[in-house]
Amino acid sequence: MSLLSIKSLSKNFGGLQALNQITLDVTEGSVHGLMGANGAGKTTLFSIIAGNQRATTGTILFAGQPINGLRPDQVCKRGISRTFQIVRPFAGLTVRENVEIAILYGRQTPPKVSEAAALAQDILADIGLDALSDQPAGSLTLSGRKRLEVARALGTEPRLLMLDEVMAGLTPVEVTDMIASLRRVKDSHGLTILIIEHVMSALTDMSDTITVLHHGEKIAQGTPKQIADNAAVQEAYFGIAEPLEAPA
Amino acid sequence: MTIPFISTNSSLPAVSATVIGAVLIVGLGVTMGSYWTVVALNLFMWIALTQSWSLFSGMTGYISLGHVVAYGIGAYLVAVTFKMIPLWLSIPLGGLAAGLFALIVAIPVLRVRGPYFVILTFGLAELVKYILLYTETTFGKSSRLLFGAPKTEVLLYWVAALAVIATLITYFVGRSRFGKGLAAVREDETAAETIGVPVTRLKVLAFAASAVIPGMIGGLMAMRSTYFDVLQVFNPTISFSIVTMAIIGGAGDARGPILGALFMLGLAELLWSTAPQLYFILLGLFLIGFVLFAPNGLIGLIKRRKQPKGSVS
Amino acid sequence: MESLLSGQLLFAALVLGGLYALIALGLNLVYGTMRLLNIAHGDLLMIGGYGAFWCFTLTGMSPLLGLPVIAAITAGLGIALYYLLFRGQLSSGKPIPQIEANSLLLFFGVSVVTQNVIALAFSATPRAYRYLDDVYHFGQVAMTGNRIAALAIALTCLVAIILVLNRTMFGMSIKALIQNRDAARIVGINVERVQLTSIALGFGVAGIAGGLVSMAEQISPFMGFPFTIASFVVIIMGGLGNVFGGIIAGFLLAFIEIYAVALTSANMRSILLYGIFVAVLILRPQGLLGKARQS
Repeated sequence: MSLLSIKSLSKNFGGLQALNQITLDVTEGSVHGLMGANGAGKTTLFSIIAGNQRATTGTILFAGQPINGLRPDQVCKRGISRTFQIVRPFAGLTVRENVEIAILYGRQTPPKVSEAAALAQDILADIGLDALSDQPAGSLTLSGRKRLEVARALGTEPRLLMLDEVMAGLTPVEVTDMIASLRRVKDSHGLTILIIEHVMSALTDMSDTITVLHHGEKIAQGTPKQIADNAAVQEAYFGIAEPLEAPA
Repeated sequence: MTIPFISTNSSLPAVSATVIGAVLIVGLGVTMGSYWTVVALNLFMWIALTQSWSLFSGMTGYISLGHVVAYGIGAYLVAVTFKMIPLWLSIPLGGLAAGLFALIVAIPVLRVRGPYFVILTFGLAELVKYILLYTETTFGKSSRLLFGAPKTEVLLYWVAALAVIATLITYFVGRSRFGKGLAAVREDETAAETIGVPVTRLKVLAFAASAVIPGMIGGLMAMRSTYFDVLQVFNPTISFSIVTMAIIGGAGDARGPILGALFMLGLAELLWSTAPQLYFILLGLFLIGFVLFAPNGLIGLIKRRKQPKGSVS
Repeated sequence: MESLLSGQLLFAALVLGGLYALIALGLNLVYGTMRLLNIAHGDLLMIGGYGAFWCFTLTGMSPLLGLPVIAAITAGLGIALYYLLFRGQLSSGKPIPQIEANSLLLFFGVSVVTQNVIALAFSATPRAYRYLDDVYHFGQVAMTGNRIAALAIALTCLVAIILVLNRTMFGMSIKALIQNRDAARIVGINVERVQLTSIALGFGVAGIAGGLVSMAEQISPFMGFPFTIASFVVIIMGGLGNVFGGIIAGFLLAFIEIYAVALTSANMRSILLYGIFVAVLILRPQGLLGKARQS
């Protein structure tokens, strides 16, 4: 059963076709990976789903309801939350306040203001930031900021979590930590995840299904193994048509 | 919009301190004679104006350099309806008119950001001033005489009450869901709307709300002089003073505007009557100094003092 | 309606346009190269006006001969402010919106201080002097000598600055800095020196414009503000940082102002000025002419 269902979605920027007739279904409870080179249209797709940008044509259904044209805050209330590839913490507020605001505004039935701090603290503990919750968000390291993006998205109590390169720029150890955290919160919150990632091992490791975008077109979809074997993907990525070894 | 208070108990000291402080100053002002009554009146006027400014500009980071427009609209409404409807009605109506004006212009004006917003608010206030000036002179009413206005003491009670209300609003909004949403708007509007903050609605509400009390203050202060003059109640110096006090006192904390108003009024008391130019020169220098060296104002300096270096939070 | 077609209004609009273009050019250079929003810009005119006034009344010398000295004084003020207030801000790595907002507040402080220092020194009473006020007739058009001189000098300055910007290495580096600060640094432009020269040039030109204004109009310590607003209208209409757009917009605003006032009444002047200002900001903050540069 698909939680998110995108049909024939296109986006033009002036003359540039950023997305061309994308159709995509994200199964409830799955981790769905999006891969593709820079400029493939992955982040644009995220922005359109989240309401930050508008599609030129096409429809988006979330839990069976159309969400095209809704404002980002309305999309968020429906249960979709995204992170930003270029992190956007509320730098002047504390880490906990960042998450509190997500809790107070992102949920369909927000808790009382007095309860938000404790709820935020729980989420920060889940994601491994609880020790830093009184620090200004601007003082966090890159790894911390990426975690905060995730924590803030979780604060809105999403059904669909969209992660935009939350592992880019992290050390291998931090990547391992992040994957473990994401697995944990996925299970505990019953999430569906749509994830963009350039760290290939992480993407294949986590995803049930991977969709490959290339120059705004969907060129392949399948299990990580199928994608690794896919000739079109090889062609697009490496300019060769021989199968590579499947990742372990 | 309801403002759920974080916890009434923890805010009790702040609320009682505000009320008691105001009552004391009003008492002192009235008993020490007419000169000090006027000083107290001015103090509460600036506190009320700067707190209201802070409710929008301090919280959202959109610096309004045209707040006098609310003051002027309130004053205008009260002056036009003087002796036609009673003051207890016309003054709140002045506040409402100012809020309504802000609400109407909010959508186009708030689409403009950063420094353009700053100069736009200034230009808008001037535009309203000149339009009213034009209509008043066209209808031969370049100034309206206001005989029989209430005594200064009475005005002081009203203005002090508004200053207390404005202070408490800033204080409670800062702790409310609304205030936290505004803080998110100030930090990053895109990120804020992505986590569910209805950015435009909050900005418009805060913008309109921050005009109401200045409108009422304008109406009350119009009663201070025996005539009404458009150029006087729309004087851009009022907007500038508000911003200067907010910067010197420190925005984003309900105590900041109080400190800023006290500071400016202290300086004015020392110099205004003897050397007005020196007063403005010093005010300008202080503004520059605070922007460069203490961007969080007096309240920021005090907080830093309390908090030894290296400690967190 | 006949008067609308007369050369008289045309001449008035040209003089005003030359001044607006010159004033806005200075504001644009300072904003374009450093992102500083100088709301004390009109006060530089005021300083220039006082310079010309004292030059004429004390020495009896032509205020036109005093213009280089006046330009040097306001340029020096610009250099001093650069070192005292803005160099630290510009190299602090703060985000541009914050630099812009801070510069607005700092220049506001500068404006208040300047106006009141002048008022303290020379009193707030408006002053005027008579120089080159003989009337010349060209057909139906009556022109005073000082307005002709103002127009001629404003145009000369404009042409000279355009030539410098277009034909010299230094002008190119100013334009490069306006286009893209980081790229300018990478290609080896001495950003610091270009900024310093831009602020000196922008302030100096404003001083000259003030000297020209004072020949035809009264001066007072608080005369600057309408000029600040007019020059903001002009540079926003022309596109912030777009030097040539600003020059065209300067003449455009002057024509609108002169003809609209002639059609209605002098009381409409301020409504018109601020109305255009508000409308331009709300409807097309990127400017009426040309595209805004990328931020």
